[in-house]
Order: sequence, then structure tokens, then C-alpha cells
Amino acid sequence: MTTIPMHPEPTTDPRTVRWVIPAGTLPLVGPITDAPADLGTMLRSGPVAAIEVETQAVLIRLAADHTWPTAGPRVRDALATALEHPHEWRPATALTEDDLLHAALQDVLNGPAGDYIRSHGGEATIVSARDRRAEVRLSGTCTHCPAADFTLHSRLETELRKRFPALLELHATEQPGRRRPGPTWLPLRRRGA
Amino acid sequence: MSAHCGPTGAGTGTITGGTRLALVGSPNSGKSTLFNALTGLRTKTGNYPGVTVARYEGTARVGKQEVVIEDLPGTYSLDPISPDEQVVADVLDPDNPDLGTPDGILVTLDATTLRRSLGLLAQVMRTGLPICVVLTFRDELARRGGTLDVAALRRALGVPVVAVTGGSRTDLAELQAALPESASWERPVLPPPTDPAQRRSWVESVLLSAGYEVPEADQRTRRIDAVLLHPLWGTLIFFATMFAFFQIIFTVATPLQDAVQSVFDRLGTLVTEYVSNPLLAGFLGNALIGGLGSVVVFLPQIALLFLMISLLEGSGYLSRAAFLMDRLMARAGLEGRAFVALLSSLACAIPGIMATRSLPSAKDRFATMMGAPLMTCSARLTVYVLLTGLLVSPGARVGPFGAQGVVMFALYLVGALSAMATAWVFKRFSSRGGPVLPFYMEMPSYRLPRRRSVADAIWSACKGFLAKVGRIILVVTVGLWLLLSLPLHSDAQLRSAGVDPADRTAVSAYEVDHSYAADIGHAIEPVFEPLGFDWRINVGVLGSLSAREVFVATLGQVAAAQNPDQPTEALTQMTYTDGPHQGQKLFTPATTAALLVFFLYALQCMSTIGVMRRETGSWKWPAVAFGYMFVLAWTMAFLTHTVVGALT
Repeated sequence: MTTIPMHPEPTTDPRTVRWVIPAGTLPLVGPITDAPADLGTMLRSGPVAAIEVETQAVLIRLAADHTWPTAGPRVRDALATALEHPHEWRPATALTEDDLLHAALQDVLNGPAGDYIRSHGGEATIVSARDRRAEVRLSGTCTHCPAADFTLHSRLETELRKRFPALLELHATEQPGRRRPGPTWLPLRRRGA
Repeated sequence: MSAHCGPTGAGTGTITGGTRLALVGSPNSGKSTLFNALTGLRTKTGNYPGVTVARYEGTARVGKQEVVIEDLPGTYSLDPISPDEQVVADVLDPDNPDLGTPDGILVTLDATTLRRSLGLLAQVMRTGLPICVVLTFRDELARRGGTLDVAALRRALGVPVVAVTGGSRTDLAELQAALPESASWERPVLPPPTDPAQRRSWVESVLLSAGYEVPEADQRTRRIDAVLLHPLWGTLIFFATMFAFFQIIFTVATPLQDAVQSVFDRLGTLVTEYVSNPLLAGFLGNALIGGLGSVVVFLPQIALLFLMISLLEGSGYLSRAAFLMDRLMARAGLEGRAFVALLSSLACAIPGIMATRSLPSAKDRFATMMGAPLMTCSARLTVYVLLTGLLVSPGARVGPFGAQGVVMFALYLVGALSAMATAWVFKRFSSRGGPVLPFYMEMPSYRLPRRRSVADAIWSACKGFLAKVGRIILVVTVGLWLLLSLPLHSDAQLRSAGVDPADRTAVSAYEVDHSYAADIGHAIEPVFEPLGFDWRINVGVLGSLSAREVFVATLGQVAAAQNPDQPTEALTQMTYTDGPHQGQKLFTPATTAALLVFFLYALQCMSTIGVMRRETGSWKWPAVAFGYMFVLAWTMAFLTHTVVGALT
């Protein structure tokens, strides 16, 4: 049996553990109302207080009277089984594909790629995410940066495609004053002449 | 012998107090290197499994605190299949009452084999002890085009991860600072799963999350291996390498050896010039300079032997040699790991016997242990060099090669073949078959041997050799000198025997011939007479039961007594003093060859017997080994004497 790769990571809240899973395992994001098999049972009546799905993780919070060392193994087994049935998970709010794309892009911008942009004073914000196309605005020090295109495609797009494989295009909003790509010709006529 | 043979039972007692950390890792994961770097206590670093078999402890100083680090044997998992891995499992088992549980565990992970190493880490994390991961060979991962995000790895594992690039002091400082804090090391939120399928998924997920790109097989290593592991070329190159090995030992060492010899010759001259008391002069000239000097002369050769072994080991070639020889070992009913043990025995049988701990099957262990003392160890080297020098003139050549080197190579080859044959016999006749146990052997990438490891290996070998000369050999030599010089003869006795008391050479020759040693030598003459040995060789052989080098020292003493100015000359000119061959040359080709063969087979090493006793837990096996080897030695020497005698 091939099991879906997953591992737990701690969060700031000791009762919440972030179970890292491959992007695209679950076709949804946000809080969960019901999950398949034992995980659903645990959420309804047992030690699990809340489940929230991120693009690359499942956040599971335990009820107040439970700890991870004791409840952990059962949760792990239940999660492994539940991940085998991705379409039986029920999100709190129905999600469109556009929502998933938006969440995936948000996840990229919150992650290491976004950290990299912020590390040198750049800024990336989501402009739109629909019909498998996404648009971001690169501002701050990115504005006049000749390497911004490189960051956009080799970092953001690569990361986004991992989380949302159906992606058609990621592009940056044109900034006023941002130089267009392509050769610049010397004017033939002197200005003001 | 224990001192110069590298790993022995160092650290059998445990150091108490302070934080205790255990060092765990797969073979070749840079564990021993890290241990040396942290503790400054030297152990050998090797490229094949089974190098670190004894229990090692060292103290790392961090500021004013002391952290005791125990270097556990390399292991691939905590499901033990060999005595080595059993040790690791026992130490890490908090419920094991016999061994103290460490306060924390340092796990070395080789960045180039992370997928496999994480399986071990998962098991270690199940112990619940604080863990700090030390990531090694990240430079090699980068060179081979792999990637790894250390921060993400740390996040995914939930334990501290420190990357240490071989020998980098800043990396080490970071690790050292973390050592005493084991109680506050980050703990994983949940230990990894035990179920194998789930564990695989955990490993996969951690690797994904850390952005691990499997490094492509090292191009350089692959190209080299295409030739070196080739069934035909590889085997040919292996034998060529071994052949060159012995040629180098001879050609390079000779001038160095001559230099050492000339120093001792000068000392000898000074003694004869300035020391008038005949007894003192005899002691200094014969026992110390003649006896010990003749052993110390071999220091260059010992150094060269260890230089080459550590070069082969450090570069990664030894594992290839073991791999190539695995097929040959299978003929002997053994597996590749046994070859490692036999190969280590080239330096000394003791690390060889200890390396058998990596063999999972007890039957294989005993069979290998019985064969290991037949491998040509560095102590035999001294005897071989001396006797080969007597047998073959230095100028003689076989084709383009020095004949002495060829004879040496043959001796090493015969030793190795005999060791394997012995192992086969013991394997064959030692009881029923057991389950076939898995065999795996890692082929590390070729690496440039680290200069420090090489220097350490040579230094500790030379130091050990000299220490041995200073202890066992000195004591036995002085004892033999007493036997050779007593009883004292008065001038009147000498005159009545027809010796002029003024002629010192004649006097010492007479004294030696009528000493207690001569009585002992004559007493056992019936045993060795068929081999062509006279009483002087007998005394040497008896003395060499404590350590082989004593033989060289004894002959050196006898020769120095007979011709103090040119002991080597005296040795070649030595004749039988009595018996049917009186007046004939003693070191005929037949006798010399018989002696060589005798030394090839006989177990003349108290340290080996001691270690065998310790490793097998009874006197039975050492007794068996000593007995069979003596009988074998005598028989083979007799055959050699007969055959060579008939041919010459």
C-alpha cells in the first residue's frame, strides 16, 4: 500500500499540529465540517476539536482534555486513511476552483517565496485569481527591479504550480513607470525640434 | 601488541558525571570524524563498515562544562542483526538495566543518503530521548547537484539540525554550544510512526518538505567505478595495486631504513670504543643496540604500511576491494564483511578480530577469527624483511621488479589464501547451517583522504610500535640477553676451552654457544631439527611466541655478539656450531624459506590470543587457534624445507 506522505509539525498552539501533506492532495481549503472514516468520528465525538485544510497541510486541533503524545497515533492513522478519500471531506463553505487558486497563491505569498520578496523590501499582493489565471502586483523595491520577472516566474509561479497544477498563467500587473520588456530604440527625431 | 594495533578495548570503564551523549549514525556517515573533532580523542576514521567496533568515549569541553560523548558502532537500523547493532540498540534502550541511558543522542545524517538515514533517525526518535541531528557531507551534496533546505528539515523533523561540513570550525562551534543543553533540545511533537509503510510516508514527506533533491550518483565516482569494479579489469587493478603496495614498501623504505641502521651502527661503535666493562658493553651493544635496534630499523616500513592502508581506506578504495573480493570470500563460505576483517588484519590481527563484530552470524565470526591471524600483520613484516633479505639478494630482479618485493607479495598472498582456506575449513566443520543473513556494503564516493586522518593513523601506528618495542620486546630481549650471556665464564675456563680471553669476538661467540639459552635451544632441537633450525633459531622462535619481532631482536643479539662491527654480515655467514651439519651455512635457502613459512603460519602473538579470548569468551578458541596454527606452521615449514632443499 502506498501511503500519502505526511508528517507533523508543531505550531504556536501546543494543541494544534500542522500535518504537512503534498499540495493537491485535497481539493479544498478552509475549515472542515466532516471527514471520512475515523477522522470524522474523532471530529464529531472525540478528541479532535477542529480541522482546517491549507493548500499543503491539515491543521488539527485537539480538544482541551487531550494531548498529542496520547491521541497522536490514532489521529495519524485516521488522517492517513482519510487522505485516501479526498472527495469525502466536507468543507464548511463550498469552494470554487477560483477560491482554491486564491488560497494556493496566498499560501505561496505567505511561505518562503513571499519571505524572500519581503526580505529585501519587495511586496507582492494578489490582484485576481480566476479561470485558472492569477495576477499579482509586485511593488516596493520590486517596482524597478530588473530581476522581478525572474522572481515572478522561477519562484512564485513554480511554487504556485506545485499547489495548483491546473494553473494556466501567473502574471504581474503592469506598473506605471515600469519599463516594458524589449529593446528600446533611440528616437530618430530630436525632441522639441 | 595491543598498543600499535589501533582500536582495542579503550574506554571499557565509563566516564561519569556531566552530560552524557551517544553518537549514532550509519557507517560512513562521518560519525567517527565528528567524534574526533568534538573530543580530540583519536580513533580511526574508515570508509567501510566495521571500523568502529569497540566502545569509544571521549570528553568534549564546552566552555567550562564537560560533555561525555560515546561513539556507538555504525548501524543502519535499530533492529539488530549483528553484535555491533545490538550494542547500539541496547545503549539506546531506556529499559536496558545493564547500560546507562544517555542524556541525549547525536545522530549523524549523511546528506547524500538522507532517505535511508531518515529510517534510522525515525527509530532513534522512538526512544523518546532528546535528539540533535548533525547533517554531514552537505558540501558533497552540493557538488553533486543535490539540494536541501536545512531550516525546513529542522521544522519537519521537530529536532535541532546542525549542518557540519567536515572540519569547519564555525559549524563545530554551533554544535558544541548546543551539546550541554540536551535537556532543552526541541522535541518532536509526535515521534515518527513504527509501521513500516507509515514510516516510509513520513520519510517521504520530510524529504519533500525539505526540498530534498536526490543527488545524482557522483559522476567521477561512477566513471572510476566503471573501471575499478569491472569483473576483469577491476580484479587485475586490485592485484596490481596490492603488488605496487609491496614494491613501494620496499623501495621507498630502504634508504630510510639504512639511515636508521647507520645511527645504530654508530652507537654500536661508540659503545665498543668507550665502554670498557665487558658486561655493560655486552648489554648496551648486544641487548639494546643489537636487539632493539634491529627491530626499530623497521619503523619506516611500519609507517609506510599504515600510510598506504590509510590512503586506500580514506580514498574509498578499500570498500571496492572488499566488494571485488566478495566473490572470492563466497568460495570460502564467507561474506564480504569477513574480507574487511581479514583486510584489517594486514595491519594487525587485533583490529581484524575486533572487526568480526560486524558479522551477524556467530559461525562466520569464529571462522573469520580463526583465519585472521594468518594474514600478514605488521609484526610479521619485520621478520619477513629480515629473512627475505637473507634469501634474496637486494639486486636480484624478476622481470622489471625487485625480487624481494615479489617474494614479499607472494608471502602476503599465501597468507591471505591460507586465511581464507582456514575460514572455509572452520565454516565447513563447525556445526549446522544457520539462516542466511542479509549482506549489504556501502560503496562510498571517492574522497580525497583527509591529511589529518592519514597522519593520525601513521603517528599512532609508529607510536604504538615504539611503545611495544619499549615494553614487551625490551623485557623479552633483556631476558634473552641474560640467557645468552649467562653463566659467566672465567678466563681459566675460557683458556681450558681453547679460547683466548683477549679476543673479545671469540669470547662472546664462546659465551653465546655455552649459555643457558643455548641449553634451552638445544633442548628443543628435536622438534625443529627437521626444519633445519639450529638452537639459535629455536631460541628466537621461542622468544617470538611473545611477539614476533623478538625473533629479529634475538638474531640481532646473536649476530652482534659474534661480529659486533657487521651484524648483517655475521648473520649471512652464520654456520651450524655442532651436530651433523657443523660448519655448513645456517641460513641456506631451504632453512630461510622454512623459517619464512613457519612465521607465515604460527600464532606467535600473546596479544592476539588475549583478544581472541576476550572476543569469544573462552580459552577454547585461542587454544584451538594456537594448536592448529603451530601444527600447520611446522608441517608447512617441513614441506618447504624438503622441497627447497631438494631444488637447491
